[in-house]
This record gives sequence, C-alpha cells and structure tokens, in this order.
Amino acid sequence: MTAYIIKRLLAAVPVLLGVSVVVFVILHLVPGDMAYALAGPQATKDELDAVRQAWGLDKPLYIQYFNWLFKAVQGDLGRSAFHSDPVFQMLMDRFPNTLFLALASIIVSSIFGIFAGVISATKQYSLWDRLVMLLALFGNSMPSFWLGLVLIFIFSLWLQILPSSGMTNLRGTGGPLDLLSHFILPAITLSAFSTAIVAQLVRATMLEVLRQDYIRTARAKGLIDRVVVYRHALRNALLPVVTVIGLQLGNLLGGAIIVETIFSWPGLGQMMYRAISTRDIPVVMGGVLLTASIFVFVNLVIDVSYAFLDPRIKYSNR
Amino acid sequence: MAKYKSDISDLLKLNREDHSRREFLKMVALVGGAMVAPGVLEIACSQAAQPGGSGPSVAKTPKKGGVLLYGAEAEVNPLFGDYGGTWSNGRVTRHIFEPLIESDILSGADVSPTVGVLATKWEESADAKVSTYYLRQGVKFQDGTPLNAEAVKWNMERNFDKKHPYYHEKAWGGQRQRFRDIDRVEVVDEHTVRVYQKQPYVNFLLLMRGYSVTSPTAVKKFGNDEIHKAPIGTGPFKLEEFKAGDRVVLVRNENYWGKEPWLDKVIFRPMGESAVRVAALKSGDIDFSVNLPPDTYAEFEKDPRFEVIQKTYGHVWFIRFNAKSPPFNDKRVRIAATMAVNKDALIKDILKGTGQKAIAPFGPGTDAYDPDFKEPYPYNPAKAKDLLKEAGYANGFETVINFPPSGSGMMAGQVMVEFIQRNLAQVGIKVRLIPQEWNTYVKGYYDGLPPEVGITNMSHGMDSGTNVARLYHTNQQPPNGPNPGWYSNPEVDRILDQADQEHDLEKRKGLWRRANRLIAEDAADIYVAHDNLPRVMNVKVRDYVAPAQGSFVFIPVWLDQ
Repeated sequence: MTAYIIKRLLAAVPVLLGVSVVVFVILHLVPGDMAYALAGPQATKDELDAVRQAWGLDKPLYIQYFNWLFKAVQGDLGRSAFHSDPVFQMLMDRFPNTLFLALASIIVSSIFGIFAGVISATKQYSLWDRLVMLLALFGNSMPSFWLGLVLIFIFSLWLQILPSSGMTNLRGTGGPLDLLSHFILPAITLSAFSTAIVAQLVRATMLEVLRQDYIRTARAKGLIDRVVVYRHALRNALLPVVTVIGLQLGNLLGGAIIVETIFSWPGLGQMMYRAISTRDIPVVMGGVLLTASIFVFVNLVIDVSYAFLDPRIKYSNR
Repeated sequence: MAKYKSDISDLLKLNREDHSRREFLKMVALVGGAMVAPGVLEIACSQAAQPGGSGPSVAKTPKKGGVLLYGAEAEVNPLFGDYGGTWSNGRVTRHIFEPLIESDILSGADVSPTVGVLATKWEESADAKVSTYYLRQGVKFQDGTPLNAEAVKWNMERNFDKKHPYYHEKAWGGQRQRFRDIDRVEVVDEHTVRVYQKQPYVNFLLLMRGYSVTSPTAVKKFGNDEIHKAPIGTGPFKLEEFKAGDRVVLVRNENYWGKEPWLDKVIFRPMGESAVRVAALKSGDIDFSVNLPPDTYAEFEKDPRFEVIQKTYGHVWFIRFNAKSPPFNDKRVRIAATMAVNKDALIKDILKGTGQKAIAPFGPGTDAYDPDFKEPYPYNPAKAKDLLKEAGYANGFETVINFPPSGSGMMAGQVMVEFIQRNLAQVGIKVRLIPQEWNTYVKGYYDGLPPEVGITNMSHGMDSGTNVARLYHTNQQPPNGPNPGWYSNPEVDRILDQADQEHDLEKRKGLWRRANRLIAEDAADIYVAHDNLPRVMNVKVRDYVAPAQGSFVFIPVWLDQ
C-alpha cells in the first residue's frame, strides 16, 4: 500500500507540470492580457508599455513561463497584479474559507443524500420514493445562483433570520455562532446539487444490492431490516458513491465560484473568478496548481479508501 | 390501486419497519433545527445593533461615533497612495491619503472646483515650465513623519526617477501622463516644493489634482512590495484591518491635522453581485451602496428607511462608430444612426431615470462641458431615413457591434445595446450583436475596429478636458491610443494642439469646449447617457456630500442613531 501511494504521488508531478503548461498557454492565447486589465480601456500605448515592462509581460512567453516555474518549485508563486500580495499567501488565506464551506457541503450532502437514497430504495415506488426523487430532480436542475438568491430572499429579506452575505457580521464581534449563521445559506446552496446526485446514485446502487442473494439470506436468517440495510447492503452500495463524493469534494475545493460570488464568501472560487476576469496570471496559475493538486490528492484518498471499504481490493506495486 | 393502497398503509403503519422513515424524519428535524438555531440566536442577539427603520430621526446635531458599513461593487485593490486605480478604489484610499491639490471631493457643486488640501497655495510660471507648491504647516503622516517639502520631493521622485531606491515601477503606467515631461523637483524651503519640466506643460497643474503622498518612513520600512498593507498617509482615517475579499476597516485618525471626522470607523465589504447589495441594504447588513439594478431605485425611494441621491459626474456611455470604413465613414450615415436612437426613452425605460441624456463626449461635471451647446441631432427617425436615402442606403444595411455585456462604467450594458439595436432596425440598420468578455473586448478595442465591425460600445469617466485629445486626436488612433473608431478631424486636431500650448486656463477650457462641440457635430459617436451614479443609503447616514466625480468619501458623514 505504501509503495502504491508513493508511486501515485510521483506520477502526480508530470500531471501538475502538464496542467501548468496548458493553463499558461491558454491564458496567453485568450485575447486581452494583464496590461489591458491593469491600465484600463483609455490608456495610451506608452502607458500600456510601461505596465507591460513593470510586470515582465514584454518578455517572450517561454521565458515568462520558465521564470514562473523556477520560482514556483521554490515555493514562490509570484505576486498578484491586482492585489500586490504574494499568491501563496492569498491562496492560504482563502483556501480555509473554501475548505470549510466545501467540507460542510459534502457532509450535508452525504448525510442527506445517503439517507434519502436508502429510504427511496427501501420504499421503492412509494410516495417517499417519488418525493425524494422529485426533490433530487429539483436539486439537479436548479441553477445554484437562482437557488442562492431565492434563499437570500426568503431567509434574509423576508424572514430576516439569516444574513445575506459574507463570513462574519460586520457589526458584531465574530465568533463561532456568527460564522455558523453566515455559512448556512451558502452551504445549502452548494450542497443541493451534490445531495441530489448522491441520493439518486445511492438509490440505484442500493436497489441492485438489495436484490442480491446474500441479502435474501440475511433476511431469511431473521436479521432485522435496519441491520440488513445499513450493515450489509449499504456498505457494498457505497463504493461508487464514495467515488462521486470524492469527486464532488475535489470540485468544491477547486472553488465554488458561483456560490462564493453570490454570498460574497471570500474563498478560492471567488478569487479565481476575479483573477480570470482580470487576467491576473500569477493568481490563476497558483490557483490552478492548488486545484490540480487537490484533485490528485482526493483521487488518491478515494482509491485508498476502496481497500478499506472492500477487503477484496488490494493494490500491487505494478 | 391495491399497490398504492398498501403503500399508504405502509406509510401510516407505526411498526418496526417504519423505524428508518421515523429516524429519517427525526434526523431531518434535528439537523435542520441545529442549522437554523445558531442563525436565529445570532440574529436575535444582534437585533439591538440593527439600524432603526421607522423613518428619519429628528436629531440634527452631528455626533461622534458609529460605524458606517459600505457594500462595495468590487474588491479593493492595493492601497497605494500614488496609484489610485479605479474610482471604486479611490473611495477607500482618499480616506487614508491626501493630495496636494484636488477636484474638491467635499463639494456638491456641479463642477468640482480645484482646492488645496496639503498645499495652501500653488502657482505656475508664465512659460508653464515651473510650478510651485506651498505646503500646509503642522501636518504629519499617520506614523508621525512630518509632511514637508523633502517628503513630497521623495514621493514624486519615487514615481518618475528610475534611480530612486524605492522607484515604484508598478505605479509608472498610471503616472505616465502626469510626469511625462518632468525634469527635476527642488526643495525651496521646508514647506515649499518646486517642480521643473523639460518643456512647457500647460496641463501639469490640472494633472497634479489628486496626486497623493505616502509616508517615506513607511515605504522605507515596508518596501514597495508590502507598503500597500501598511498604507500611511495624512488622511482623516487610518487602515485598521484588511481582509482580502472580506473587509477593509478604516478607523478615525485621532491625530488628524484638520477637522476630525465624526465616524469611529468605515468598513468596506466587497459584494460583487448587485442583487446581494440590494438584499444587504434591506436587511440592514450595510448602510450604503451604489450600482444597484436600475429597477430597484424606485422601491428604495418609496421606502422611508432609505434615501437615494443621484448626481451626474464626468461619465458618458456611448456607441462608437468605425469612421474609417463604410458605411459609417459617411457622416450622413452617422448622423442618421444618432437620430434613430430615442435616448429619452432609453433613459426612462431602461435606466429608470438614473442617467441624464448625453449629447457630447464630455458632459456636465467636466472641464470641456458647454452648457449652451444644444443637442445637434435630436431623435427623429423620419429624418434619419431621409439621410440614409441621401447617402445611398434607402434600403438600410447590415452591420456588426462588438460590445461587453458588462464592465466598469458600462451601466445596464447589454440591455442598452439591445434597445439601440431595435431603434436602429426601425430605420433599416440591422445590427448583429457580438458580445465579448470584458478583457477580450478591451484588447480588440485597442487594436481598432476592423472593417467588418461598424460600431462598438464604451464608456469613460474622465472629467478633465486634458482627455479630449487622448480620446479623439488623430495621433491617438491605434496602436498609439484609445481612438479605436479611427476618428479624425484636422480642425479638431488643430484645436487640441492649440489647447496643449495655451497657458491661460480659461482659454484652454474654451478650446476644449470647441473641440467637444465639433466632435459631437461630427457625430463621431452616439452619446447616449451620463450616469447619475445613484447612491442608496440608510436615512441614519447624514451629511453625505455627492461630488461631481466618480469617487466620494464619508469624511463629513455622521450617523443619526
């Protein structure tokens, strides 16, 4: 197992390198560079040239890339053109905010999704089943920006029981309760889609597992339904679900752009959206590197978790 | 039917098989309650801090104290004193930094007069090569460093002298126009600074408006890379906290040289989504905001908890023609297109009255504005059709518009362009819309309009007449500058060149006004609207002054609570 993990980590290096090259090239192929964004649409050529020189944008592309790479391997991801802050520091400031939101969303979507899927599967074709699947369809189809705004309207404007934006109350002194009240609406918005996916997937896999001979045997042996469903059936049904949850986590950690923008949640997604819009190349490169690394790590954790969920799975060194 | 009946029976049965359903429901109730309870508790505890909502208070006497919360439409960029960036940024930095002279940000006049802030007097030599600034005495930066001629000289050299140990390369692009001809800066005495140009630069004094200074001690301590985190100016507020993407907290400067502000703090929270700013205002999360959806202002105006203030400043939203290629190289066609657009209806129906009709590239609030100039081409679709017929386009023609659906200063963007598209269609000009993301669009703008693109769309917010040449002189056509429509009029060039040499400011303004008029009469663009920059504030916000500028401050504001 250790050798397998090391091998996977080493294989990540060319992946990350490839990602950085592709993103760098794309950023420069897209029309409009950082100089236009910094100088604005009314700048003269002199002013644009001055900005390009200040930021090294007048150098050949391959030199710009290798300058970036040389510093990146030493831990220096450069400075943001728009914030002047070190990119690494900006990522570390924002990442915990996104991690908090993403983890909360995954927990919510996993708990609700799995339970809803189990209920739906064990009560197939019942009213519960239909209701759960209808809600799942709704969760799948609703755009997150729409759901976010509706929740703000209901809970912040109409009922006035939850705040509409930010991570903390600007008038208050902060604290865990304050943070919790601010994260509820973004977490619900972010988890809606994942919950729907998980519920549908759990229902499908549970239905398949519940039809297996060993389940019939367990029931025939007199085990109560709860034990049959949760100890014997669900564990086997969870393997593909773990993959989906893991991939969702990777997506969310990469930045829930829409949700963070709607709720002014100062996370990675919001930062990346602004960086891409303003062609803040150092931030985009740093953010993409972090996101790619997260994906690699999450995929590795998922693969390793299979061995724990299913003792039949073993990893070889080959 | 039997199956459905048994399903209902199953639902109603309270037996062991229903444990999972009951447990699921219990769990939902518990988790849901746990999730909502903290929010209810938090909101309940902070209710006492919520602003009152029963209407304007009777109290009129300003009182010290309070925290004003501002919902900003964009994130705050680095807090440099010498490189303001956007207006949005200027609304923060002007609290911390102060200029030698400025267009008075505390004046509600229709054109902001030039006033001294850190300079009490300033003068220019007859040949416009030397300007002298007499500094206010007894002023200190927020870290105790005295403001004197040495400090001002140090700041200026930091911006143009590449040999300066703290040469601020990143600010150079923004300072290029201001310091393009500078030769040297001299300290005459402790409170007098003299600036020498290599050649006469008649606009230098005007361009010095807004040039702010930073504490040299702070720059030496933190360096160019970190000074934005410790911005030390002479202003009435200091930076207390900066959390990127979350808040910028300014606190009153207790050692301010001038009249101390009333507010304890001003907090800026970036809220990029306009609908969220609306919600935050209504729920009391913020006290002040701008750039809300046009159809929300009427509601705020009716709500006794809020006040809406509008003021035109040097902003204009316009449609730019490709004056080099057919059909818009024909002035008659440009005039026809201008006369086809019902600007009054657009301002009423799309902008909901939050703009003022524009008839020239520089409108109210600018140095080049002529209040006596009447609209040269008012709305008249019948006349537009006649002109098109005369120009050989009796059956109309097709053209393309590149435009950004949204962007800085672009108001209602796409909706306005679509309105104009419909207007033009009524006279036979069929326009195909090509929306482009902002930065992609700006790149194309700088490259100049290609022959197949007949029109484009832009706005600007420049109040100084020094910028007429920047936008309309022939020498600013691509790749040299932002004249992408290839507009060229030798008479306009001559007037602008003459203005560049005119030492008398009033005569110079007269020349700018003439150029402004000629450009409008040439129908170089369709000038549609000046943004009134509606501001919505809670009624407890008192004594806010709306200047004729895109920037504004909360220095004189107090909270009636």
